[in-house]
Amino acid sequence: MQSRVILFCYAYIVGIVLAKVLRVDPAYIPILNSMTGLAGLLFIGYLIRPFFSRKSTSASLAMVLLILPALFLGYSRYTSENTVEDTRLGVIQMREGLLSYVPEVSLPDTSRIRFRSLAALDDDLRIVVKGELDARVPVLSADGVPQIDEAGRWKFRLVRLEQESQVITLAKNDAPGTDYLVPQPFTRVKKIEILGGPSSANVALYRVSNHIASFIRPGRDSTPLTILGRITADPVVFDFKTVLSITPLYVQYRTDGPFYRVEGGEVRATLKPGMSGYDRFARSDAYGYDVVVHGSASSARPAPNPGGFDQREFLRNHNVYGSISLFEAPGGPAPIDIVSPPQGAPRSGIPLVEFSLNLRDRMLRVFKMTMPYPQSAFLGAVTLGLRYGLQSTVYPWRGFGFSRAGQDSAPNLITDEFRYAGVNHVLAVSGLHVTIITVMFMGIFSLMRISRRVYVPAIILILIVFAIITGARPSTLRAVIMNSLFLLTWAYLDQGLRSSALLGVPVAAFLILLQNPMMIVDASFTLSFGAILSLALLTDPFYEILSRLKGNSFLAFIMVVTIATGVGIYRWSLLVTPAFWIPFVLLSALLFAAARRLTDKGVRFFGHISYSDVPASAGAFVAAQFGIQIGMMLPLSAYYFSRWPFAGAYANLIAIPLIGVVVQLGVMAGLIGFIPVIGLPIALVLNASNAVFSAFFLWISHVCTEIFPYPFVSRPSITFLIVYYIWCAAFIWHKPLWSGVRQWCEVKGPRRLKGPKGATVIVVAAALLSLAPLAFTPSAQRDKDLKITVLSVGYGSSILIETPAGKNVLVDAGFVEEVRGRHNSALRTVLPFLSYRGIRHFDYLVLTSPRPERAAGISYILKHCRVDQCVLPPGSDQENKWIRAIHAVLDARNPSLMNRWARWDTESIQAEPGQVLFEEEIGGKKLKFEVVEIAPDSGSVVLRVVYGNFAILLPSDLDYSEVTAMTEGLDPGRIAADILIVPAHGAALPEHYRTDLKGSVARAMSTSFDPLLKAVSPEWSIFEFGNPRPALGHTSRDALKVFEHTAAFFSDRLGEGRCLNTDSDMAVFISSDGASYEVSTMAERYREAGVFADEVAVLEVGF
Amino acid sequence: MERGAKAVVVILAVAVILGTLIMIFNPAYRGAFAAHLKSTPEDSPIWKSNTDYYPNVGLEKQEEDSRAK
Repeated sequence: MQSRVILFCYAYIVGIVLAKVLRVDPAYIPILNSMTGLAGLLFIGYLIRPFFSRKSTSASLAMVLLILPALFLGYSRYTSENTVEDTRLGVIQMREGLLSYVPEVSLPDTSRIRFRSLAALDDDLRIVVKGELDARVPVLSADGVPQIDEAGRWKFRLVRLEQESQVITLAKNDAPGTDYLVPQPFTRVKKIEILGGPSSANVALYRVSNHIASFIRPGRDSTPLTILGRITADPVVFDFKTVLSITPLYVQYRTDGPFYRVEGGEVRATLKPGMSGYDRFARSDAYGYDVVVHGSASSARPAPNPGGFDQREFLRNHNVYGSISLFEAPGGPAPIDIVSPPQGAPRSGIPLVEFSLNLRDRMLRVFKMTMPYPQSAFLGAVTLGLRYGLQSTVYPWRGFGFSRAGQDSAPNLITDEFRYAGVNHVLAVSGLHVTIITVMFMGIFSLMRISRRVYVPAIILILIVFAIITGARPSTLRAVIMNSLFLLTWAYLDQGLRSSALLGVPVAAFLILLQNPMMIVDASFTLSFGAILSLALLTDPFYEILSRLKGNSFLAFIMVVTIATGVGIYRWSLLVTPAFWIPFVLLSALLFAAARRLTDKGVRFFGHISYSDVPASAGAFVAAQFGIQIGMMLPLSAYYFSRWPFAGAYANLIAIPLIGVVVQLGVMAGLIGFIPVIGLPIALVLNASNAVFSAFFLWISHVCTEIFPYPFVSRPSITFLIVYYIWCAAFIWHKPLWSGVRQWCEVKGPRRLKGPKGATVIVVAAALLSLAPLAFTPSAQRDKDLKITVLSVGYGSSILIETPAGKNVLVDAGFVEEVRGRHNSALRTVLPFLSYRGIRHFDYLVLTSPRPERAAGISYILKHCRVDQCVLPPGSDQENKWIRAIHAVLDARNPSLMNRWARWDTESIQAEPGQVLFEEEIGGKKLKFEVVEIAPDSGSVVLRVVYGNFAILLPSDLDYSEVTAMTEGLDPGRIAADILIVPAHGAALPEHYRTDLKGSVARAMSTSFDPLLKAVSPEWSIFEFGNPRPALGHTSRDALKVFEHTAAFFSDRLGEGRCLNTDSDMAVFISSDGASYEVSTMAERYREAGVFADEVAVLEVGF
Repeated sequence: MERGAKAVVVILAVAVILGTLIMIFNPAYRGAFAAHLKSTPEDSPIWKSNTDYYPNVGLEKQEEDSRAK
């Protein structure tokens, strides 16, 4: 039975994965649901068959009947959850020689509708929709706030209106499948009047879903909305804002429009301190309040660069489809109001949740009274899940750590240090915490001599409360479900940990994914299950291997690990170089051979000491750390974060036992603190010692951050991960696999493959075969085109150039804002993108201007990537702190023996006018990368890349006078290009801009940019633009206006579609084979994938 | 589960001994204890160090006052 449950759960997960990989048209969802139902019925039939027939079902048929419904269920569940489905209402088709509308379904509620042509039209079809609208108008209180009744239902009065749409024209030239929105809403469609049209037509009428996503515009645009809804989660309180999760029940799209009943999705509203009623929302009490919200909603943008963090998808996976910015004019109405039932207090949420949140606040109060900051914030994070309290806190105790040359010096926020040290999982409130709580309460109940059958339900209740308190994240839910299953099977079925873990993992995954199948790609879900599976499956094999180490071999093993660790700490770059690994592997082999030889001769340095002499729990713990690193951290950290916390393997040896003590003491102190009179003094004593343990934890992460590197690594592809886990599985089950292969060779294998040699041949062949898919990954198939990627890095610049001969060049590296440590284009955008592309080495790193929006990120690139030559502007100003930072790294990259061995030496070159950095010739086409000009004042380096017939000009930060000087001073042939990157982001401030911005920009255009465009004669222009405030401060508004004028000028000259900007178009991709070239954008890719489908934006919903 | 029970006892014993020493020698903890004895927890240096940390969670007395408002 247990194995069938496990199989069913895994089949469900496979179904979800299939739905993610092989998507189906939403139109097939009803068919999919029917097939799921049919498979379910067959399964039920199989289950009840023994009651009616004595014939046994074959095992393979039983397996199919078990797996099929699970697969279908997973597939349809994910597809339905991932799709906001529109309902087909009817169809217009030719009947008896006349075009007429055939209704199929009536509208369930006030809705928006659209037509879709299903086949090509031979003439324009003009339609008018006639019907009725039941407009919901809220019943307002005396002070103008919508009201609810005792049961929490919003009060409306319905105004019935005759409704007639404007004439909708379906043009004959439009492609089949084109949508035509009707700008008026309807509650009932009575008639579709066809005013004129083609000889035949096949047009369907659809109802647009009232899901909240369809009311919110994508991207930068915002939609003014009024929402009547409920706060359905605990408010997230920061010191500078509070974020509310609101489930909208009704939404009004226009102030003069009707209210629609919302059919799904949540939004987040952000309140700033100082707003009316802020204090009432910035507390747990706000959970469950009914609210009316007026604000501008927008949905998060998807990742603007390949490989970047996709916030839109992340939020959607958590059912959040928009963010509402609330604005309160001085003396104006409040943007958010709490609505109470008549003569009553505001409604509250689910009682158990209310109780849990109240308990959390009371425990937090005890922590604040008994533990100083920041230890209190650390304790609040690890026991109550309140990690936002640590978010802007810097490590407080200077002078205790060590300093590491070349480490990113700016942030040192405690949360960053946790990430760097690989102990960030303690803030995620994961299975570790749940297990600590479980074991602690089991211990307490055992001390009280209570039977396990009695206390197990109590502990499960405690775990549920703990999960609610800590935000019910997937990792916590997984652990609560698993621990509950373990406790139940242990208490009532007398089963051990291993069997309950094998059952618990799939059951927990099934239950979480049944509730929200979108979690399948969520990092916290994957990492949590990756961790528990690694622990369950990899600990034993590693323990077994380690246990074989005895005497001198054990010593040799320790030496090998110490050398590898030392090299990693001293010079990470060496650890990823074959130049190190070849001698290191040889040295390791030598050490083990010497150890065996010495043992054979009776020489034992430490007697018979072996790994198995280590206490079993400590030995298993170290083996588990190996399992976690190999099974989870190494592959998944690289996949999700493009970085590997090298320190984690060591820091966790202390951090995990320490967190056990901190959490147990914290929970006990928090609960004891409730006891009147004596509670707080006892809690004070307990937390006095806990403050020391907590400070020690913070110190450990700080020291590890300073000692160990936190390197960027190439992001593995899905194919690579599959191959990697196949190898992991082979390692875990190597014994049964080996004996199976040997048995097969003996019994069924051909004569040549008989015996162990045959089995070895088969295993080696299978291993090689498993590597074959790697040959088909995109990184393995570099094509022969010149590829240029203009990254979207806000107001800044970073351009990657990949040449057909395999050279990589990075031009500039974006802006870094050190003050708050939050805006770091190099660390957050450029390096993750490079990891995604698998690029860790540059032939050239070129800085074209000392301005921070180009120069600030260069030192970060140098710290994390191998760079052969770094090209700097001439006479780089040593007063400029970014240039100083670059020189500091370059000094450490001198051609010393160690640097050359690690290929970590970088040659610094000063750019000169007319300098050719490199030339290539591919298939008779020449590629030239040259410095065209250097502006004497701004120090901007103008670059030009020419490949056959294609050219691109990168004029860096030339100001208007420098542009004029370049245009007049150089032969147009030297700057002619197909694509022009607009100088200074198109936002250089012209002279006299303060007094006459428009006029001065117009003059700059006519005197500088007009001659530039004539000389360069580009077909495309690219503005590297974004929010200029971080880089420009008080002049950012003027820069924005200049940019708008400049963009309009370029659009006018080149045509609107030929003027791209990295803000709205996101990353720009250019490829050329030397004869022709192609330009595409990230936004275009999203549009093609339907991410930017914008329906409601064109609606004029009034009545 | 004897090991779990033993661990709880050991952790508590160590925490009580270490905590008592800290209460004696650390001025912030001495101040916090004195403030508790005087029933003026708002004067505790430990409470004061947490002023900006989740300011929405105040002392019980402060909470009651804010609710009354």
